[in-house]
Amino acid sequence: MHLLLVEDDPMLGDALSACLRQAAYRVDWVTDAAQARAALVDHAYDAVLLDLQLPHGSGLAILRGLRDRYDATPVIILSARDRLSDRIKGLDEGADDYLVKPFPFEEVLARLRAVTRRASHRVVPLMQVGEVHVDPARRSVMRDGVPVKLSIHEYRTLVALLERQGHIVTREQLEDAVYGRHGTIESNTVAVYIHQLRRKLGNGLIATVHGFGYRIGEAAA
Amino acid sequence: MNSLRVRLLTAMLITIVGFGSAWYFARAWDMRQPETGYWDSRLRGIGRLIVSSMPRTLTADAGAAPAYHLADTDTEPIDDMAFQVWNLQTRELMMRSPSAPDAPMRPDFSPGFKESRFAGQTWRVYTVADNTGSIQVQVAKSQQELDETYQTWRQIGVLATMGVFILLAIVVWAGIRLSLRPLDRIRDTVAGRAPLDPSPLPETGLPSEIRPFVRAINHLLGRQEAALARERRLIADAAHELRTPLAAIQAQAQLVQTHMAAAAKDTADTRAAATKLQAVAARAARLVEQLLDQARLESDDAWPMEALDLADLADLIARDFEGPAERKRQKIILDAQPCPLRGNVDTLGILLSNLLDNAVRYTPMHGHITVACRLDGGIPCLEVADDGPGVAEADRARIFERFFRVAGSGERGAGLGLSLVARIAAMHGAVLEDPPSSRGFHLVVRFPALQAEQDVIRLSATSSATAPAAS
Repeated sequence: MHLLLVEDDPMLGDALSACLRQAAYRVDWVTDAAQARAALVDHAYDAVLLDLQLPHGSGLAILRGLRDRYDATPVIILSARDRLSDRIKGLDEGADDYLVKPFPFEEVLARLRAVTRRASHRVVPLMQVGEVHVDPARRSVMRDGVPVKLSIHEYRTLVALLERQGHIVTREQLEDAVYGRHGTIESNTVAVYIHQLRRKLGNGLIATVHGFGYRIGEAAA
Repeated sequence: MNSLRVRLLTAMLITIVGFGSAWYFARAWDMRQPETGYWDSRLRGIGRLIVSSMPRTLTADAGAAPAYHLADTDTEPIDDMAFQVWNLQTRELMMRSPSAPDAPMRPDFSPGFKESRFAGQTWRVYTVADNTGSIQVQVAKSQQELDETYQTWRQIGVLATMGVFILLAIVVWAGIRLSLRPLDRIRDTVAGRAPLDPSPLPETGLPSEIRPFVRAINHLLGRQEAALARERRLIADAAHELRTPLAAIQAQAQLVQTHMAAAAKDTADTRAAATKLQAVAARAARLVEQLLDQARLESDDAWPMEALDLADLADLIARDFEGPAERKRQKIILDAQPCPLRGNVDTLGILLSNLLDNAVRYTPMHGHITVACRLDGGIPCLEVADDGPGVAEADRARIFERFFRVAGSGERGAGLGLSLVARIAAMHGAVLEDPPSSRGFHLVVRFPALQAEQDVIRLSATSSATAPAAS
């Protein structure tokens, strides 16, 4: 696995890259926004660890640039900004996860595993079913041309269903797609998000296949 | 007497009353003054008029001729005034008014003013002669009548003064109220402000006496805002400057551990030391976080409230604790029903993190932690429960105090977590309940119900979203 680490603090960058290498990742470490942009153009990374406050530009701008190019490389933000609104903003901009400094190193590994797992069967282009259109570059969802506001988890649920359009998606697969890992937390949230998606996008959009899971669109032959 | 309004009014009314009574008493005194007073001057005027109106041909006989009668006889006769014209040489009565007696009203015929008694009452008599000393006119006015007139005049005077007094009081009161209205407006503006609101008070439409005062307050507010902004910047900088090195320490400790493992030099001692280093860093990190949260809550009260769903926030925060819970083999059960409320995302995030952090921290290995949110009869409710040791009855009342730590608990927190929770709950108008449970700690946060208006908006949004699907 090839990672890009964008961190301007030499102490933290040094320690993190060393730890990641010991965990058998190949790591490119850059310390400012310009280098990060260049590296992202030149290489295909499996995941990016991104600090937000950088010399020569913000991490959020780098992330936006990436998503505008329909580049779905998983991004984990590592930031000292711990406000929940900052985190939601980062996720809305297309980050796959957000870790607040300081963090135990095993947390980085766990999140890396989760986002790469989620990203493994990701497709990027515009998606459409019925009157619902999803643009992954802008994280925008339109219904009949009208924008619909979805929470980050609702959006991920919808995208997971759309990526397997016509196929049954099990609850476990959806949890994988939304969170990347499951086991420690036992939750009903996927059912809640399906409910909210039906409420916001139309009752007929998502079919429940009893005993198996959910399906969006007509069943594939 | 601290009210400007009452003071001004009192001062003005005292002036009015003082001036009114001074004028009144001066008039009354002047009226009764002998010789120079109002009444005596009038009496003298009448006497002199009569003298200069008497024809030189007037004889004693002419005065005996029958007199004319008034056209309006039915009105009361003039009996409060009288005059006589005497021949000064012969002391014969030449003419008299109907109310005058035949005897001289002033028997000694001396000129000037004098009191005299006849016809059963006292009269004020004025005597005046012509320049040749031929005739003398005696004019009299009933003293009783004078007294009555004086009484009436006094009553009218008092009534008039009171009327003016009341009228002026109303006008002055209204005037003062009107001119002090800008002060009332400013008072209402100031009273309705949030404690740390730095926006300046409006300076337009203020009287020139009050404007400098308001300007001074605005100047002060501006300086206070600058100080607060500096403090907020410091907190934000501190967050960044403290968090990054702490993260570095944690990563370096990890590195030491893995290096030693790789070099097969990890004796139990060194491994324990590295683990301890990590624990110390983690504790410092948590303390920094809570102190910064505390500082942020105190230095800022502009926490924008917005419509949000607690379920989304609970899901986001619960996932943060997946790692820590996993390390303690604990299970987090998240039961999140849609739970719309008005709140502030950032502070609710702090509230949720602190509740979950406490739960994970104080619940032993293999414990269970439940996080639930739902609408309970329209009231948004958040519930966090664990099957840890819970809180002893004796400590229950104090757990929301700052820096209070449950004695004997193996875990070390900063003792700030629940005080932050209590503060944020209060900020949202939420009520904290810790129902006594058989085991573990159990906290319910009940938020104020969404107002009907917001419910309508939400419902209409729901129906408009589902309507096309139904068609």
